[in-house]
Amino acid sequence: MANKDREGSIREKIPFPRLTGDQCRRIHEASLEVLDRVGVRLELEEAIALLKKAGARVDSSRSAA
Amino acid sequence: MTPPALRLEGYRCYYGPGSDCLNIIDHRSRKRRKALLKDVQEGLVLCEGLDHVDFVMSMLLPSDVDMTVADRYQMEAMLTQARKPIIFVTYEFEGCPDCIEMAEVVAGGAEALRDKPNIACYINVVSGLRHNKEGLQKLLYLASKNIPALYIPSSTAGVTSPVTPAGALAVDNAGALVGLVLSQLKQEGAPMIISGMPPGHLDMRTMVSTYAEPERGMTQALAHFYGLPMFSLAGASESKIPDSQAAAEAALSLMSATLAGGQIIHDLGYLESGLTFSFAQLALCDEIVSWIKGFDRAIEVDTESLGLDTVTEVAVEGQFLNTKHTLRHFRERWYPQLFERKTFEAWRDEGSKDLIARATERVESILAEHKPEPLPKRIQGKIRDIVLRAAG
Repeated sequence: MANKDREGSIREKIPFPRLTGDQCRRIHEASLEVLDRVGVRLELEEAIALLKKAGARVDSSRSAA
Repeated sequence: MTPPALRLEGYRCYYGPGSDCLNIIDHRSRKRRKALLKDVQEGLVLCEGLDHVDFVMSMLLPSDVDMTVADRYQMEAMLTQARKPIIFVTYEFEGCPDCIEMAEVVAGGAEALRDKPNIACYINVVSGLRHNKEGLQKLLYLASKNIPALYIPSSTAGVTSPVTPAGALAVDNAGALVGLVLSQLKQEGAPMIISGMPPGHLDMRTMVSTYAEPERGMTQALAHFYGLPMFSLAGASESKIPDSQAAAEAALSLMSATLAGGQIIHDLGYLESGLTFSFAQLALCDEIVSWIKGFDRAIEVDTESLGLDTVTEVAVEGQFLNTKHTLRHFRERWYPQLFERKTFEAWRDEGSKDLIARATERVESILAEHKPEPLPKRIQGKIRDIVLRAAG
């Protein structure tokens, strides 16, 4: 068993998507809007610094990025 | 070049248990009790012996070791008992570098593990909006070590995200995107696995956060949309014991997660909404996955499979039992290991055993017969040193 080639179960040819591409885009845009309007709380300085350096808005009074 | 531990692409799926259940249904007594380290070790032997378990996780949180460093004991058990890829979970941040160090000992050094990781760390984040310190520390550390991180915001729909599946997904996905950006800022190209499981929702009638729900498949579609590897959930049940409900929920969720292309599908063997693990349920899930692979197999339509020459030979009066065509191909059919197909009389004569009795027998026979090849003593000693160093 240990050496068995782990091929997994392959379904590359018959996908069964529960969301259309448009629905995926809508959810993706909603996630970006959440990041813009609400933001997230990151409880680690290094993470906040990384995002700040990359251009994120930081509200340091609330440790939010 | 050796292939990667798991090839995460397209609709290729791999199956394995979950981590850290507090209780176990003891397969010998069928009673529910607190989990012990010995159960973790036995569970891993079982995972090695089951053909359709592709990766391992700890399954259980042992109650007979110092709980603050139980993750090191789990990792030691996984590295010594299992040769399949490992997905580990640590409680505090410090457990993460310790577990990686242990895996480096087995791999033959940090570089060997970095080049061909056969471990990944599952990080549970409070929700898409709130990223706890340990989760972020682990994410950045894993990125620096080139070890895959499963960064999974896990809100509870109706409590820490909207009750609607789309709203809950949008919130947790916002967090997944933050994690993705952070890992790539820390180390461009760092391996990262996002969620293929929608936030579980709080059942407003029971106040239990659920595992086995039909509202699934969305998150997998979104991960496919991004083209990112994903971590999904199936094979778990809300039932308290391995029974008909547990079998039905496992079968339906495993089938739907596979159809959705869930890639790394975990939590096989879970009962009681993630609180209890059952070896019999895991063996049953193994059989269900075998069935699904039978369903999923490519169907040959060619001269040989159509067999028209044999049909002409046999014609209307004959039968196919004694033809060479039948002899050549009957083994290609799917055959069960646990599901019962005997005649009533044969089944009765063998003790009228139900499915759970047969699954329990399979567990017992694997535990009796499967002996993992031990790691070299020197390696075992080094791993043990890391466990004891943490235990103080």
